[in-house]
Amino acid sequence: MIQFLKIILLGILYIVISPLLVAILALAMVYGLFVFVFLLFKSVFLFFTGRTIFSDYPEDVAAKKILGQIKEGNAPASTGTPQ
Amino acid sequence: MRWLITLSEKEQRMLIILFILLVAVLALVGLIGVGVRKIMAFQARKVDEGMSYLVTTKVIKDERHFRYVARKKNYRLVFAQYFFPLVILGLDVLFLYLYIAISGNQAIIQEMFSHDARGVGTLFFVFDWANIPTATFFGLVLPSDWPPLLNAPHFVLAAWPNYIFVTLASVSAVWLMVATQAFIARSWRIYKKSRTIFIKSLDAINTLDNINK
Repeated sequence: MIQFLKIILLGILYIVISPLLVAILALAMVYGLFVFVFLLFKSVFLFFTGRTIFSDYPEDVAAKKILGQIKEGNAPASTGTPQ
Repeated sequence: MRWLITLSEKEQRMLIILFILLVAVLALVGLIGVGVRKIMAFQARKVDEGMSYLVTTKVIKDERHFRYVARKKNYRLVFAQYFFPLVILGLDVLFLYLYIAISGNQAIIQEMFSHDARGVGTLFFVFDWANIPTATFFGLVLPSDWPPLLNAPHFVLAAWPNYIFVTLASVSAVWLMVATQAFIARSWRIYKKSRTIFIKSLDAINTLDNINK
């Protein structure tokens, strides 16, 4: 019963703030479209320089290097070819 | 309670039905809201996928750097998720433009949502809401019955360009809205996490532990 009342109260809250939610969604969509257009031009430019916008950032490269080192450190030592 | 007694049987029944309807609508809106929040929590997990290993390897050490990299990754996801709906929308507009260019019939745009010509309204029940029957209830003019039916769903072959255009436009609009919702969810998670994961708290420090060692 309390759960049901909570859902009803949430319903009232969402109806009251729905204009604000719609405004946020619309603003985010406009902002997202600007981001899309900007990245579209950037991706076209990068395409002709032989690169892509989906390549790793320097931070990703550094993190992958560290993870690789950790994996190598944890790997069991090679015993060489069996005699 | 006295005023309730003065109500007729019909009015009491109407009052109960209105109350039940109101509760049902509020519960439905509440449930939809809970559902949307759960979906947004799921969509925000993309931030964790892209950022967790950068934090655990300590490549990112402060709040500003975290937000900078997370924002760039978020924008890339926006680009990827907006791409297909915008391509569909572009092709859709191109389709209608070509149809008008070939047929020379511009009136199809004005008829897009109509129910009596070549619009998508022909596929739906259309009610005459402007002439809805009303009854006076406690001085309030309230709807007392369904409005007259203007259109029952029927297929009009000549309306096929509008059927295709509106269907594809609706699909891409919903797709864009879901992508935008995911964008908001990720942005909020980036903001929230950047405020908490680099926090220097004295709560976790117990100096006695060091003395006892």
